[in-house]
This record gives sequence, structure tokens and C-alpha cells, in this order.
Amino acid sequence: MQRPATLVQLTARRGQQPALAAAIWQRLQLNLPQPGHSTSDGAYTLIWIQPGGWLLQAPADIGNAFSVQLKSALAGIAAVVDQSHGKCVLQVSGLSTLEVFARCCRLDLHPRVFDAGRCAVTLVARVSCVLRQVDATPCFDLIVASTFEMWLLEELQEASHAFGSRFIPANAVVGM
Amino acid sequence: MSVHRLSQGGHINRSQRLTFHFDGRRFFGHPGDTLASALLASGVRLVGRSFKYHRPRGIMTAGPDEPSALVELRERSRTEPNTKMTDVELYEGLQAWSQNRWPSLKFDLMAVNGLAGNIISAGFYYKTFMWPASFWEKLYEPLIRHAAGLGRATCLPDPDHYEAVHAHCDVLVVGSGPAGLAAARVAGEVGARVILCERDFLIGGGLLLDPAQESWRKEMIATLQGIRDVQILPRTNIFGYYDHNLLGGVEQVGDHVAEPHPHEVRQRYRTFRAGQVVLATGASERLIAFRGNDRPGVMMAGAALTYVRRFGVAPGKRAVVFTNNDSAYATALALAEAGLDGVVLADFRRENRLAAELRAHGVDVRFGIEVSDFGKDRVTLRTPSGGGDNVAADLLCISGGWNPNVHLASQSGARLSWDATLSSFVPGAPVQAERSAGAARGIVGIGEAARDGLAAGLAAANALGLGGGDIDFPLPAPEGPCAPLEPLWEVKSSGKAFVDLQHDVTVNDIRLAHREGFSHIEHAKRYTTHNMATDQGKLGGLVGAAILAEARGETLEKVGLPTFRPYTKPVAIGALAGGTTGERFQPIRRTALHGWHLRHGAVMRPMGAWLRPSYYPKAEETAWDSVSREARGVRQSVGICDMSTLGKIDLQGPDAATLLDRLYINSFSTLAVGQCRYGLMLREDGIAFDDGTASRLREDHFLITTTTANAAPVLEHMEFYAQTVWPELDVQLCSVTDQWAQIAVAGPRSRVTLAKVVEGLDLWAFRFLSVGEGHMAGIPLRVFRISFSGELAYEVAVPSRHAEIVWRAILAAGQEFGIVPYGLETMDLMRIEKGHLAASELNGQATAADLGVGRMMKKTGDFVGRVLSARPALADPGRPRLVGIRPIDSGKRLRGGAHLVSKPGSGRSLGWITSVTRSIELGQWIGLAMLENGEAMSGKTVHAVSPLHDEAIEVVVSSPHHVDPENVRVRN
Repeated sequence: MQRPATLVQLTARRGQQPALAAAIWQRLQLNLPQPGHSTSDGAYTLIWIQPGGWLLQAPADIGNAFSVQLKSALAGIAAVVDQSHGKCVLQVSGLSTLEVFARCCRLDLHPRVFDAGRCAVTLVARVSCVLRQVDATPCFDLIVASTFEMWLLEELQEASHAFGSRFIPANAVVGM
Repeated sequence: MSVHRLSQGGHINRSQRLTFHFDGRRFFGHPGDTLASALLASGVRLVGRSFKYHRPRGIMTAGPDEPSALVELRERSRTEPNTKMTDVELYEGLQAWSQNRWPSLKFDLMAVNGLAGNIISAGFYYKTFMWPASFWEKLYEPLIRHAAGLGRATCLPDPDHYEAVHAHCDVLVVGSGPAGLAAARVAGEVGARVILCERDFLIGGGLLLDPAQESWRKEMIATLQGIRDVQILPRTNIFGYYDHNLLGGVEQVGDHVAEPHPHEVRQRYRTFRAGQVVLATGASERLIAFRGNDRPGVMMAGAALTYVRRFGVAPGKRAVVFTNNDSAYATALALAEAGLDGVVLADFRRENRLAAELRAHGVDVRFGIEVSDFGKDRVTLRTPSGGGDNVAADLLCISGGWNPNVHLASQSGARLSWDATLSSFVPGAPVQAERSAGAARGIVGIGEAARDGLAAGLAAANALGLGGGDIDFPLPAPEGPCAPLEPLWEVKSSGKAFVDLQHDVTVNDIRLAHREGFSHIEHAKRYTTHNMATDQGKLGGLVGAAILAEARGETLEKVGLPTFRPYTKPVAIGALAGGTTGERFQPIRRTALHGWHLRHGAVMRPMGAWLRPSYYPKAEETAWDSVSREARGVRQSVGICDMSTLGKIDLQGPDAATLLDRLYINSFSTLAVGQCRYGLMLREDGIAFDDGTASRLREDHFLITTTTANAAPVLEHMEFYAQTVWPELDVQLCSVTDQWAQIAVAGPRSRVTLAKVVEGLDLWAFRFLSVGEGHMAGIPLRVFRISFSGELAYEVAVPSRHAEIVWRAILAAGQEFGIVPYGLETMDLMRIEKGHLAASELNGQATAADLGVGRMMKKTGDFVGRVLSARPALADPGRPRLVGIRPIDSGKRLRGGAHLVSKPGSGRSLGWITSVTRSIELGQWIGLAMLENGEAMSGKTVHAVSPLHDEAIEVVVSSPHHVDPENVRVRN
């Protein structure tokens, strides 16, 4: 299903990673996650996406003001780029989730290897995605470039063909 | 019940009958049969004709090593040629046809090739059809293609589906015989994630041939099915072993039914990434070369045992078993027990302790015997002293020993080592995390193989840090040592003795290859095509090598085998393609305005992954009508175009300007905030890489645009330099291509149109090459005054989910001016008129100077590509330069790709046409071209020749800027 969200890309300025971690902690009480991991309090989620780079997933209705405030709070510490329109979140859950991913993703998502909170930047259905395990039910978030959203959705439906699937579209547009 | 079907035994379900057709004749079989076993049960012996000599051939094996029994399976769009009938699981309604026979299987005209066999020897085609060269295409090739070849592929589209599935496991076990089952079980019981692959539709391998082991087989399968992290995949052949313990396989999901289930695939391509691999791939029986060893009725001894024990079929009425080892004794015994008359066991060796038991069952055991010929229902036996005897038999079972199936081990990088006891090669020391077990490494006996498999499975688990605890389960009793084999490769006599039955390669062909200098095993293979058929020489590969070794006077160990390569079994291209065909061939990228374009009749065109509107035809309009109308609308008033596919890179940090200075040929540190500048990047080798604009949003914040095609390569290029070459620079890069939709508004009325929409920005004070921020109904906008069309123009960037709101607002604002949406074709038309560059000019061969932008190069300061762009060849003023061209006769059309020559018929090309269009400003075809000494040629006439169209027209050379060379309009 589509999960409307506010998405902000944070890239630490050279040597400013500790300052960024402190600023984020002060503001959100979240730690900057290590590579391959994410931290979340349910409302806000920080996902490691590249060396010195994180994606902050925030509630959709938080509005444009959030990234503006963040920008000024992190001035000189990190580049803050709004990606709320550039990326979108598709959530995949259900009993056959791993079977579906086996058809479009080459990562090992066995619970022994990839548990809740783990994330990866990888190809899913041949397009670059941020893949994050939300919980072990299992439930995964796929964050993909919005111009590939339709493609990814079609491919996920194709991959889940043999298992049956249901798509729940977002009923609200992401806030500005 | 058919004549050859035994009344009991085997893994077939006699209570159910399956109907099938072979060469149009109706037959019956049972679930559990293969096509081969069902035909043998019906008494069919002749099933095909050979490749070269069209000799009659029968069923030789009971598995994928089959060289002869090839069929065309299924009909019409589902036709599958060259399928081994020994590898086809029987189903109701199966249709198969024999191959390579004309006009019929029983009477084949091409069999005269057999009489000419001394002429059509190895290398015949190389030697005979060499000259004259012109005969090759017209005469020789069609002739050879008609005479040779196997089945025919269908040209119809495949109606079935395929998919790819990727799996990971701790231990991958290949093969489900006693070794594989034991390995999988022990690894599973210590907690490893195990996948067990079996190419066959039944699990058990050699266990299926021994009724005494049936309860153990069933118990093992039941136990494995009960372990949560053990997955059993039948009908799954592992075809290749690649680096990093990656293996590939194909699961035949729907090949054993007439049509796959509507929601199921026919075949599933699988990849396996395994921590450890256990190769329990068993062994293949090898051939002995003698005269007539290819005739219908010859069968490998192990295959004959399989037909009796697994399929309940007596493969003949009277049998001779010819062997040099103990394994064939089980065959002779099984045949005698199955009620065959007068079974003769001809053992090449001097004696054997098993003889007494066989004799008690009525088998005539003879020692020191060779089979020297097999004719029609007659086997010629010969003693070394020369004495002979003819025995009536319609079945001749042969066993020259067993070769471990080392293919996957060899592909994994392990060298093979010679085992004198087996007279064969076994896997040597592993290179990757793999080990072979059971018969695959020469272990003989079911109990022995099971123990070896258990040890291998445990070792594999231990290597992954799993294990401990007492794993104990019952194993079959060891069989004890067997008598040694005595190597026997060939029984010499006149006549054809085959080493490769599918490619009709004889022992004499191998000797000829050696005599003619093709003595290396790899050369002999290619010269004779030995081992190169779809069975990859599984039966006779080692025999051919032995013949070569004898000819060379060297040991077989030294001669070795040709390299084993994927695939272990033929793989359908459809399986490899998986689901990625047709519209799913490559990812599709849609802009935020995609839906609007479709609703307004745009003809969409793929560009890379993107789908972009090409033009928006109205009813009755041709493509050119539409494009001309759109272009006129822009040039005369105002147009709107979706430019969202442009690459957009957000660049921040105190050193952002420095990075740009080092990457572009021109300077950006001098760019004022609120300004844009056109820039060109070079590759390191000095060739132009990409062009675009950079806009300075703040002192430490730039936005860069790239061409659509180079969006990802440019970001990679920039990241590479930022991360590895100048890590001291404090810059942060990120793609915002998808965040911002970009809308071009172009034409003399673009300003008045936009002014009605954009708030917070004074467009009259907003000069050419400026960037500013505005908004529309609370939606933030970035406005750029840049122009690709050559007109007064703006590009409006909008957060992409709001793109359609803004797009429609601009359309509404421009309605009074007759605003037109325009597509790629019009964009291209206008940029060619203007002389702007696109991918046809930025073609990876042109320098900045070639493209007429050499003067942009900054005088001081280094940048990527500067040094190598000064190489003499790149700085040569005679290089093709960008020019404009137009036909002298304004009624003529230009062709993209046409060559420019001084006069028609000249063999020397002076350049080529890169882009053409039908100019609306000039009312004729115009083009851009790369032309030697381009600047000096201005005003002169050359000829544009397009031999493909048989055209040669006179064109005049001009500036590439066909329209508004002074740039008046854009500054308006």
C-alpha cells in the first residue's frame, strides 16, 4: 500500500557527523543509525542510505515548514534536501511477502539475516530502492523514486500474482 | 499391459493410464514414466536418426546424458526441439516427433551419408567448403543446414510465462541420492538453512533402483519435509556454478503437464547464493567404443537397470551385458529376474566373485570377452585369442565404468584429479566453499555414499559455525568393497565405433584430428565437435580423450578433459529471460504529468527508461502536421513542454563552486547568486561528456541540470571526483530529478502567460539566465530563464506532485494566446533550427572545439579533461566540426546519418549528418552535421549521400545556428 510521508535527505557536511547526530538527538531523540540500519520512534524514522547520508521519514501531514525549520536548525551541519515529492513509500506486508521479494530482489531477507529495523539500498524490480523492514510480521517499506512508483507497483503485483495481492492506494496526497 | 511392461515393481502407477503420441501414433504409459520408458514399454526401438550419417538410433540412457533419443516435443507455439525423451516426464496428451529424418524415420534418404562416411570425416566441412567464398552463403550453407541440424524451433511467440526467483541458504545440496539426502538431513538437523535440488521429478537418485532401500528413502524424505528451514526442489537442475558460491538452476514447474496452470509459470529460473555447497551429483556410466555401439538396442547397463527397477520395463527380449566392472552385474541379474531369456554377461576381466550368484539365476557369465560388433539382433563376442561367437540379442547393455559428475565442481574452479581405481577424474581440492559427496567423488555403494553425504553435510554446517549435538539417524548398510575395474575404452575392429553419438564422432575422427595436428584435447574437441552436442559428451567424453591419449602415446591423466562450462543441461532462453519480456523488458519511468499527456492524446515515445510525449496530434493530423503546428505555435506565440526528465542535481557545501570549476570547462565560482550559466563537462580523455546549466541558488547551493540520458552518469562522475579525487572538498550531492517536475514555457508570449500565474517574482525584471523563486497558490516554484528553443523562454520547476496543478494553470493563462503543448519532436525541431546540441552531437567522439564551444574553455585553472583535450589528434583543426547544412534544392529532404562527400561516388567521407528536421522558419529541410574543416567550408557545397536510400543531394554548408544566430529572441 502507498504510505504518504514527508521525506528529507540529510547529508552531513564534511566532518560534521557528530554535530549532526547531536542536533538530531536534541530535536527527535533518535540516534543516527549505522550503515544497513534504521532507527524509529514510530512517527519519525531515520534510515541510513549512504556514507554520511540519511533519509528522514516523517509524518505526511507535518508540512513544508518542517523541512524549512530543519534546514535552518542544521545550517552548516548538513545539506537538507526535501524529497517528499521525489520519493514515495510503498509498504509490502502479508504472509507471502518474502516469496514476493524473492522474485524481484536479490537480498537475503530471511529473519535470521534481515530483521526489524534493517535497511538496504538495493535494486528491487531493477530500480534502486531503499528497503526497510518495519516489523517481523513481516512488513517492509520500499522507498522509490516517484517516477518509478507505477513501475514498481506493477512489478510487485506481477511478483505476487501467484499468491494473491491487494493494493491499497493512499487516500491523501502528501502535504507540501 | 504392453509386451515389455513388467507386471510389478518400479515407481509407476499402473492403475492409471496416460495416452500420448509419438510420430502421430498413439501409445499408452503410466504416471511415473518418462517418454522413453513408455516407448520402451511399447516395444519401440528406433526413435531417431543421427546428426551426420542419419544412422538409426534408439534409447541409450535413462537420463540427461542421452545422446540419441531426441524429439520435438509439443506442437505449434509450444514446440520444443532437441528434447531428450529420457528426460521428459510423461503426461496425458503428450505429443512428440522424431527428428532429423526425411522423409520418414524408418526410411531416411540421408542415410547414404553413412556410406560416404570415409569422406565426411572430421574437419570435412572446413576442408571442402572453403572456396569459392561466394558459394558459401548461397550454396554450401543452405545445403549443410538442410542435411545437418536437429529439431526445428518454432517461430511463434511463446504463450507461457517464466519468472526468476532468488534464494539464499546456508547449505545447498545438489542431488537427492543417498549422499544428498543424508547431507541435507544432517545440515538441516543442526539448524542450517538447506535447499536440496533434484533435477528428476522423483527424489532419491540411485535409491529408486533398489527396492530394499525404499523405506529408508521414504523416511528420509518425510523427515526432511518436517524440518522448517529445509526446502526440497524437485525438477530443478542446477546448470551452472559461478563465483562467490552463486549457482543457477531451472525448475521445470509446468513441463510435465500439457499446458501450465493458468497462474503458474512453465519454468522458473533460480539463483542460489549458498554459504556452502554439497555436490551430490552422482556418476554417469561411460561408453565403450566398438563397431555398432550406436545401433538401436545398445543401452548403458545402468540405464537398463533403471528401466527394469524404476519403470517396470524390460528394455529387450534377449540381452547381452558387456562390462569391465562390477556394476553391470546388477543389471544382468535384474534382467534375468525380469524374465529375459538367455542373458549373457560378457566381462572383459578374468574373473569375478559375483559370477556364482548370477549363474544361479541362469545368467551365462563369460570372462575375458569383448564385444566386437553389434549387428541386427546379433552380438559378436570375441576372446583376446581371436576366438569368436555370435549371440542372438536385441539388447546390448554396456558399462565401461563410471565417471563422477564433476561438472559443477569443475565450474566452481576446482581442478580435477585422476583416480586410477575408477580410471576417471574426481574433483580436486575445492576453490570455493563446496565439497563433493558420494558417487560424485567416486564413492561406490549406497551405504557408503550415504555415510559420505552425512560427513559432507556436517562438514558444511560446521564450516558455517553450525553443528554440535548428536546427530544420528539410520543409514543403509555399506556394501563392502567391489572388484577393481579394468580400463577398456575401445574394441578395435573395422567400421564405425562411436565416441560421440549425437555428433557422430568416431574413434577414427579423433585419430585423424591428432594426425592433422589437433592433438590438444581442446583442439581435438573443436576439430571433431566431440563433446559439443547437447549432451556435452557425458557418455563418451572420456573415451574420446582415451583414444587421443593412445594416439599421442601419453596417459589419459596427462591428456585430460576439455573445460566444463555451463550449462550442465540445455536451458531454454525463455527461462533465462524470466518475466522480463515485452513491456516488462526494462523499467518504465513516468513523469508526474504522464497522465495528462495520455489524456490529451500524446503519442508517447520511450527515451531510455522514460516515456515522453512525442507530439500531440489532433484528429486527422499526421505526425508532421502536428509537429509543425506545435512549433509554429511556440515560435509565433507560446508553447508548454514537459521537461521533467532532465537530470537535476542538488549541490551544496562551501566548496560547491570549486567542484563545479574543476568539472566544467567554464567557471562557476564567478556566477552570481540568482544567475544560471550553460556549462560543458569533458570526460577525462578530453571528449565532451554532457552539457547543461548550473544555477546558483545561494552562495553554497547550486542546482545543476544534465541531459536526460546522462542524469545518472553525471551524478556518478561528480560523486566519483568528490569522494575519491578531492575528498577534501566539502560538498554534498543529491539527485532531485524526481522531486521537481520541470515545465518549459517558450515563445514570445511566454512572459505574459507566466506573469498571470507566478506570484512573488517580477518577470519583467527577470533577465535571461536568471533563476528565482516564486509561488502559485501556495505551491513553491523555481523559475529559470533559459531557452532550448531559441525563443524567449522560461522553465518552471514545481514539486512533482503539484505538477499538474501548475501545468493546467499555465495552460489556462495561455489560452488567450493560443498556448500549445509541444512534445519531443517539436523540441528537437526547434533546437536544430537554433543549433543547440543533443545526444546526436554529444556522441562520445566530439571535443568541445568540434562542437563549436571551444571558446568556453577557461584560460586558467585546471578541469577534468583539459590535459587530454590538448592531444594533437584532438586539437587537429581538420577534425569534423559542427556545421549547419541545408539542401540547395529546397524541395529535397535530408537524412540523418547520411555522409558528406565532395562529389557523389567519392569513396572518402568528409563527415556525417547528425540531426535533421523540417524547419518551419526556413520552410525546408535543415540539418546539423560534423564536417572536416567545417568552419572553412561555410558557404560551400558538398553532397549528402545515403546509399541506403540510394540518394545523393547537394547541400550548402552554413553556421549551425539556422535561426536567430545573434540570440536576440532569448534576450528579448
